[in-house]
Amino acid sequence: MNAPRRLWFLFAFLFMAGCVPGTPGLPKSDAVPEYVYTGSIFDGIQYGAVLSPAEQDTLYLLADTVNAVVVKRTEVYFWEITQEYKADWEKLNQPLDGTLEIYQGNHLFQKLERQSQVLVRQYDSQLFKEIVFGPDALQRFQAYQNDIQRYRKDYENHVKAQQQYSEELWDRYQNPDKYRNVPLRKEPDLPPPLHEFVSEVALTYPLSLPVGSFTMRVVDSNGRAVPGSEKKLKTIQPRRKGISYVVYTEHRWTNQKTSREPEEVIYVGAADSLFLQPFVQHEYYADDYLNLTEPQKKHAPLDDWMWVDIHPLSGEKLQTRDAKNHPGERDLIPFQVQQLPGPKLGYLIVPVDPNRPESTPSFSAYKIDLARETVSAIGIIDQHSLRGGADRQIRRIANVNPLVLILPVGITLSLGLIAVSLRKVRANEPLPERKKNGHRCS
Amino acid sequence: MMRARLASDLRTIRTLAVRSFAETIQSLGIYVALSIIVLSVSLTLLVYQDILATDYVLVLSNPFSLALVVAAVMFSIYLGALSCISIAKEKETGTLFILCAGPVNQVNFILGHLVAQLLTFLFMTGVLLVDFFLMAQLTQFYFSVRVLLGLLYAVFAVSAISLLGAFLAVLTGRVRAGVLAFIVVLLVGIALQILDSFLYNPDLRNVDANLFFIGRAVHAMNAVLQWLSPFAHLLNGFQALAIQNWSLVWLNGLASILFACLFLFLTIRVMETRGVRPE
Repeated sequence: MNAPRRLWFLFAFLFMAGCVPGTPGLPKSDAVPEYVYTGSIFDGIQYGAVLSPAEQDTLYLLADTVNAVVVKRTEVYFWEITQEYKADWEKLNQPLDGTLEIYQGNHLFQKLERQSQVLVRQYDSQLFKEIVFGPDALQRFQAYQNDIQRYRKDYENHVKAQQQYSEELWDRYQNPDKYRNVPLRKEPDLPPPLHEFVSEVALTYPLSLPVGSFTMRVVDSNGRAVPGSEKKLKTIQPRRKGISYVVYTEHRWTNQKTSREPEEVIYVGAADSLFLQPFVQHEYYADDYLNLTEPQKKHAPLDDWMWVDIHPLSGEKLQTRDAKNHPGERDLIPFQVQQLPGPKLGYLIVPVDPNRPESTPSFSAYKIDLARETVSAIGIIDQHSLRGGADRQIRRIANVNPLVLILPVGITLSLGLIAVSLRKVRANEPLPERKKNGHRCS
Repeated sequence: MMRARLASDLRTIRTLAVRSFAETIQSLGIYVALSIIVLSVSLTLLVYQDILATDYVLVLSNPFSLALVVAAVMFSIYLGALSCISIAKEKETGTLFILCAGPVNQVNFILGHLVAQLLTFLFMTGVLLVDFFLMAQLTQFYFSVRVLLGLLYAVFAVSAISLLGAFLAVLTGRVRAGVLAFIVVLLVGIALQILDSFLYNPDLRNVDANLFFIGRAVHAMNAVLQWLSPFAHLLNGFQALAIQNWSLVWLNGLASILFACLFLFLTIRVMETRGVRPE
């Protein structure tokens, strides 16, 4: 092999080697004691638990929301099955005392001390949507404990009252004459349920930052940074906010389509009615948002944006416009999907009857009766004005014969054949005539 | 003196452009390319009609977006290949040498060709817009102004690709070699893009380490190509248009203009260095 050729091979090898950004670290199978960031972070929908080991250099948070983080020393191991780092809290669970310092570049941006903190959720929901810090957290937790005590007492009383009621019923059955003129009293009511759940009190740093990139570390009581407690921090915010609609027809309610962009048009085929289920949505840079919600999940870098449904819309009215731009309004209605009685397969979508408590809604949606009305545009009315990002067009599509749609292809090809034929005809014309017509260059 | 020379150059460019454009629209190639694009529009709408027949509901931001991408890519490939063939043919047959013996110089010749390509592009765009409009009227699918914007935006990438074809034509000096080089450049770009979409997957780390490394290498090469390829600028520009990210739209448009200028400069330099005689 001559020298220049060898040089080319060396260059190609170096290029390929340069393209490969290092050997990926082998997963650890043995537990290693290290500092991890843990706590509860808000993803726009709810507070969820987070574990950010040393292997993960950046923690992602939503900007201008309050999050709770704490640094703990624990044993971290790699769980092959889910390809995640896990903490062996039972073996080692030692919170790191000190002050959390947050830097933006070299500038000390915030200094935080740990505070008492609780998470709160409605009793009938699984989503923690509220976080409380400081003395309020302790008060809230105490109030919740008092509520539990009260509920226990009330429930004990209810059990006793229910027992007396049952005994009275049995007595009535045994001695009907004794109660002949005594009306049956009302069955004792259940005590009112607890309306919220408050988590155990934890000591965490309340972290709320504007959009940007930061670094954080814990310093001990002597003002020295604790080695291994450094972590990068990136805060993100939605690029756009809007309304999404989950759209389905009565014919195929299991086949749902989602409309996210205001530029989108909802096309409807041969359907009689259309249901539109609205959600408040936020748009995030996909890579950042997935790093926030699934920090340990490996995903290819997504150079794209994604919409996230935050919560269903409730209360607002839908504004409709027909082809002549006449406005109309309608409310969000709870519907129930019912199986058809008998052996025939199928279902009905009917409005929930408020007089029948057993009639629970399957979903709440705006209904458009396409058989009786023409709707060409929709929007959401929010406090007497139209809400941004909620407008959509609706178009009904009739089937066009495929042959008609293919026809332009034939026309274009025919034009080509005519052009080529004309060229040949003109090429065969005698030269003097072409000169006379001025078609030839001088 | 300068003004007279400029007027003479403009006349030469116009004559060359009209000659080249007339030749193009009287050939079958342009109509075949247009038919493929029109067919893609019709087939896309037929598929949407079928989906509506079974699903009853369909949500689309732009039913013509796929057809727009097909059209822009077809325009670019056709005009790039056309540029490559016509310039290489002029050189191979000696017409270029004869032209340059007269009032035509290398710059006028290339600019004349570029103007002819732009006229062809406008002609094809006009035909396509008529088709889009007719289809929208027939089917009731929404025709957005963004389609028109997209088609006009494609002019930057089309110019760059057309000048890439011209550069390869003068570099190789022969029709066959020029077209072959143009196809190889296209295929390398497309192959890298496809390979990248298959191989750049972090989960491969657990399946096959070699494949994972190859995937990373392909991804790195593709990342470089994303900055170099006018096709990538075109597709990225379309995506930016779809989400109305105007800074990204201008950035990609500017990249295409820079590449067009670069290929124009390189083409003229190669012509000056190698001369215009048939090889």
